[in-house]
Amino acid sequence: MKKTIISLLIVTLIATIFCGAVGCNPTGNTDPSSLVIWHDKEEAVITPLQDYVKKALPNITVTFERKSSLTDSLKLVGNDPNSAPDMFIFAHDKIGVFAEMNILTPVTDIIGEDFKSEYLPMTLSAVTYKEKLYQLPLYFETLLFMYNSKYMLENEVPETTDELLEYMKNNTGRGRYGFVEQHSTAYYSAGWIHAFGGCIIDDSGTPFPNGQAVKDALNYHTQFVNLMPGESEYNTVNTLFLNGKADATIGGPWMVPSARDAGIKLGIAPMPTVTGTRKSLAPYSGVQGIHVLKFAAENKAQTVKDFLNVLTASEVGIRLAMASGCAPAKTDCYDDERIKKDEMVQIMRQTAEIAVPMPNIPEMDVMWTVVDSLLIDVNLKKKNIDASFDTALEKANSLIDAMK
Amino acid sequence: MKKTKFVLAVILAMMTMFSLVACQLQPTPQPHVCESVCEICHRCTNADCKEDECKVKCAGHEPMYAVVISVPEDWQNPNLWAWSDPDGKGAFASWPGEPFTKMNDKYYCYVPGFVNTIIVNANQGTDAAIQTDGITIEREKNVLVTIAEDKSATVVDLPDTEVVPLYVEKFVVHANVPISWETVQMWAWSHPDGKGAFSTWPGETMVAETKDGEPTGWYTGKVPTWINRLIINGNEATDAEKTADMVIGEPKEMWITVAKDLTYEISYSDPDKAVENITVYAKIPASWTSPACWAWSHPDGTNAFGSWPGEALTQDGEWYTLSVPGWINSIIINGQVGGETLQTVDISVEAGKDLWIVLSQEVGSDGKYTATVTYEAPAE
Repeated sequence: MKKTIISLLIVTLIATIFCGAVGCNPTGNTDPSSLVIWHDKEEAVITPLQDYVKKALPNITVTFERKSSLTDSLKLVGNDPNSAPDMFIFAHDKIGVFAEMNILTPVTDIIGEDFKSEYLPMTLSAVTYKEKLYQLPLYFETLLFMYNSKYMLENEVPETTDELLEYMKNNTGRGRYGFVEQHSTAYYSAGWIHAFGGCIIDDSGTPFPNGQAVKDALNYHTQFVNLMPGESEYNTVNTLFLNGKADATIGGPWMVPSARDAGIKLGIAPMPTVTGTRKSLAPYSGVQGIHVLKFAAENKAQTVKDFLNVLTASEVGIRLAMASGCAPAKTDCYDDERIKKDEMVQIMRQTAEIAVPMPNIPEMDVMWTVVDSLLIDVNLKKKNIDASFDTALEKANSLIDAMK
Repeated sequence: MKKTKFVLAVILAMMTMFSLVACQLQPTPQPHVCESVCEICHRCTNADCKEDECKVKCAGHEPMYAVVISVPEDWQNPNLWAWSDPDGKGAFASWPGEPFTKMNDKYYCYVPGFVNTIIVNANQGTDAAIQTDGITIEREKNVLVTIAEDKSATVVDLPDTEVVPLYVEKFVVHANVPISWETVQMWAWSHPDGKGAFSTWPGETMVAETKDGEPTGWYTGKVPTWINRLIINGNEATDAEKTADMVIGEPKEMWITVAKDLTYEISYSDPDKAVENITVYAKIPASWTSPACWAWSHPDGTNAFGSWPGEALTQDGEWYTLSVPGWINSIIINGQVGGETLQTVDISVEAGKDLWIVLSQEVGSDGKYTATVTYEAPAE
């Protein structure tokens, strides 16, 4: 008897600890009239969504829950219906990881294929993994060439990278910079690598499939790095541009409202073309949208379907663009009179033609740190490019092998 | 009928002529010329004068005393560093102090009456930089200091034969200019009388500021407090290298940023000075443990701390406190209850101000706590 009681106590204790660790939801997650959606977005993005959904689906309670470590939490509880959300809003680059974990349902299984013709091809290609569409795209982000037109005059905006370099040489010094960017961060350097015909990883998971292009990009880019501050993390670059100490930068749309608030006379221009390759700097794009977890797709099929269908309305993209400067994933949003006037959103639409969606395969997870290390070796530690590249490639291969 | 018309025309012509003559006779208002001008600040000293031109009155001045120096020939661009010993009160803001003004074969500078110790230095920014030891002078006296080759100094009362120009109150102007400007000058005058601060265009050359031997991008000069118009110009002072006429409101230390398109901004505080930290005071529900603060700048998303949940708050009585960068404008207070992380909604706050945040006792329908923010300690 004593043994039984002790065993029961142990089982209870383990269950309690487990529930505590994963944030057990005692009410369960099977009520078809309610949906829980995790996200990591700011209120400027979520509020318009929330307002639209409330009106369109008055009989469904949709709770948007902000999670700071969303992907880590999903890795822990994604296949636990008691703890996982029904859906989540996130960038497309983790699709491969979650699809391999078998916690996602392709959205086309729920709402069919018809909606696809109305979306920008780049957004659809970004959210496709192993030929299945795992996200309903809402909007995308990509980097933009921004300048302070009080300092970089209209006739000085560079069309080529050689012109940019010349501008930097003539306008850097005395506490000012002609151009700044996060030069030693993989996300930012990708644009340069793509313009040389290289890439960080291909669809089959091969790192640096065109090594020479990566080395050429690094070598050419060094001249620019030498004219920028050594410290290149987000806060430094942001502060220099917003304080009017840097004439131009490559940054995300999230910088635009701050720049306008800071009194910067902001200009946005197409990405310069690399003189040697005649290809534009082609930054990564991140497509943000709704992912559906398997349990919800199976147990709340109609509610999830209704919800996704509501979010395919063009008005959703228009409202998001107006509230937070997002670039909608739906093509016809750009024809709306309200959006036509937004220079930044329209330039992002143009950039969508050249932007490269971040790879969504699981192997990309390890490449961010590999490329960051390579950039630090070359740009900051001034190590030999060939040797640094060989080290990075070796590390990438070993990490990818370890994943298998 | 013809006659009547003629008479009417004559009358009309006469009336027109009369009006014209009458207008000519109206006296044109003449600008008031102040007869009680302060020699130091050029403002009116007559408290009874109500004329517009005399609206800004002289507030009086601390007496200033001349330090005249004679230095060896190779001492170029000498400066004066001055203070009161032993209390250490300084006359000038930062080393190397106030530049001397050339006066025939000597130089002069003015100091307040409290100064009793000086250092003369020269050739700053070069390998030949040189300075004397502290030289004692008598307070409230005009003095002549002769520096020898070996840097020793002889101090005597200023002889009557040395006529020093009158003291003129000045303020510092800092200018940050387009990078293509290799020299920077300022031209200043008083409007509407047109009296100029400097004798010839393009005016006084400004001196490049340095920090740790590197140029900061700022140039410095001084202008009399009586000027109310200023032009910053560079190189040859062509139209493409000068600002428009700037109207100077308050004659006090200012920082002028001139952009490449020649637009300018005037600030009365150093725009490059780092933003000071602010203190966050938070009152949290009693059940919370390990309270922390997550803070960022919206909408650019610059985070104050490296990773969630941010920096731990420290208990100070019934408040939890933390010093955070002054530029943040969004904040979340979070904590633990029974292993679960609880948090407030995103709280928007004004940047640069200390914050008192009182959390609600009950959690909202979205699972988050609301909060009341004040910028002064709330009354108990």
